[in-house]
Amino acid sequence: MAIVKVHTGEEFECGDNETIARAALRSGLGFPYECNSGSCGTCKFTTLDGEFENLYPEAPAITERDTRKNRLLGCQCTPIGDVEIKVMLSDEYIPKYSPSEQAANLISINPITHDISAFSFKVEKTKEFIPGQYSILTIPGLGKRAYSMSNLPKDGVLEFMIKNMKNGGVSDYLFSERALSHGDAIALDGPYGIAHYRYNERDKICIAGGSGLAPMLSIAREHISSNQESRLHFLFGGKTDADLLPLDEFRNLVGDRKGLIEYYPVASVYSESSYTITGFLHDVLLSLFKENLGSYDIYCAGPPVMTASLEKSLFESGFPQEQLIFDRYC
Amino acid sequence: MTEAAEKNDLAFLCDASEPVEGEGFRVELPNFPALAVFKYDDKFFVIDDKCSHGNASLCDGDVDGCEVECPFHAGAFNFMTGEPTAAPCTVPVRTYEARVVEGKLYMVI
Ligand SMILES: Cc1cc2nc3c(=O)[nH]c(=O)nc-3n(C[C@H](O)[C@H](O)[C@H](O)COP(=O)(O)OP(=O)(O)OC[C@H]3O[C@@H](n4cnc5c(N)ncnc54)[C@H](O)[C@@H]3O)c2cc1C
Ligand code: FES
Ligand code: FES
Repeated sequence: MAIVKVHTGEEFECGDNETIARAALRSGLGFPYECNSGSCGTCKFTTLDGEFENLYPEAPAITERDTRKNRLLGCQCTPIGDVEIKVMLSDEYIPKYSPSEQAANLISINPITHDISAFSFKVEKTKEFIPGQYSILTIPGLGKRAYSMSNLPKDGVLEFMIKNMKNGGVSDYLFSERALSHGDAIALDGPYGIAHYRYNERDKICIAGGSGLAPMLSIAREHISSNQESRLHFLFGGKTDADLLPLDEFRNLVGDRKGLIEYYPVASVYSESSYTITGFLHDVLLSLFKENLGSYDIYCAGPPVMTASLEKSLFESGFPQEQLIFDRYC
Repeated sequence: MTEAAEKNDLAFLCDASEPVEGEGFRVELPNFPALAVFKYDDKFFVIDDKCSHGNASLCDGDVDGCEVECPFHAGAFNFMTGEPTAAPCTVPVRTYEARVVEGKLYMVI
């Protein structure tokens, strides 16, 4: 067990093989982070003293200048002995529910679309989380990946909706025959993520692209089950009809029996359905809500190209930054 | 810079001697978001002071050539173009055209 000292005086313990960011969050500190996967760069810190092991030296978020200035990624480093670091802690990252790791057993796999399946796991102790948050799954022999919960915290069951990325190391494996079967155990660490449901009176827009379906579903499910008075609009994007959910299946999944959520399937390439809107999610969003976009909270999740285009379009339209809620790089 | 811009299309920022190379200079104008002025290679560049990733003032960040690093999470922007140059910044910051007239720095509005 190493002690990590922060330049502003805080201290926390970090176990062997535990990353600095996760150890800090577990001890209740607001260590900055988003993806926990080495992609976003929010968790950069400067080393002041001691030795560190870099678990993912090729991580895309680190630049040559970061290396020159002794910066590492908090989510991809562990200390070797006691260390001192410089990082900007901030209250917005303090976890409401302390993340912890526990064993989880697979109980079912159900197809949702042609390449997205719902994987449900049972854990011994119900994990509390805020809808929109994610866990880190350790797949034996392959490594760790972040997946968002798609259900609500209940009965010790955690549901994930995973997209088969075809060439992807972990997702491809999870869909293969040699992968997990009923009862198999994996380690599951969470909850993490700051892009979670905000209980306020503002109307909401959820935008899910492909692999981003899970956190947006969890948010929509919470919206319905907690009887919120605000309105929720749900845009689900894919390339063609095969990637999308028909309205009745969507309502079934969300538990929206009264049709309270406005659902818009969006195909970027081609659709034969008159109900589906054709176009890119960011363009469709701006054309559907151009009048009063600034009055909404916008949640979004999906591949980096999608969230980046959305962020850019919204920023250019003057949309208030604090009302765009997302974790980078799904 | 467009020679055609009239004086009333210009907003006064500061004395041209105030911004120094290697540091951001913060200017607040009514009806504008806070601005950050940079001097580089004897030219002036004006961008929004607020980072597009969070609530940080870019004037508090380190300058590295024609880039400014954000003091919060070490993202960076090229202040000549506004483009993000390091994670976690992904969205450009707004840029404004700077103009020096008789020792005073203005931006074109
Ligand atoms: C916050 C968050 C939530 C997510 N939620 C979902 C979800 O609900 N559903 C879903 O389908 N996908 C989700 N993802 C994406 C998911 O984590 C995987 O990136 C995706 O399944 C592809 O993984 P892969 O192994 O198949 O592909 P790969 O291309 O092999 O790997 C993809 C990612 O894994 C990371 N990685 C690769 N190599 C290493 C390494 N050596 N060490 C550490 N990290 C490495 C990198 O971030 C890389 O971009 C989420 C991602 C994030 C960050
Ligand atoms: S790179 Fe570490 S949290 Fe995203
Ligand atoms: S606030 Fe600027 S990099 Fe995060």
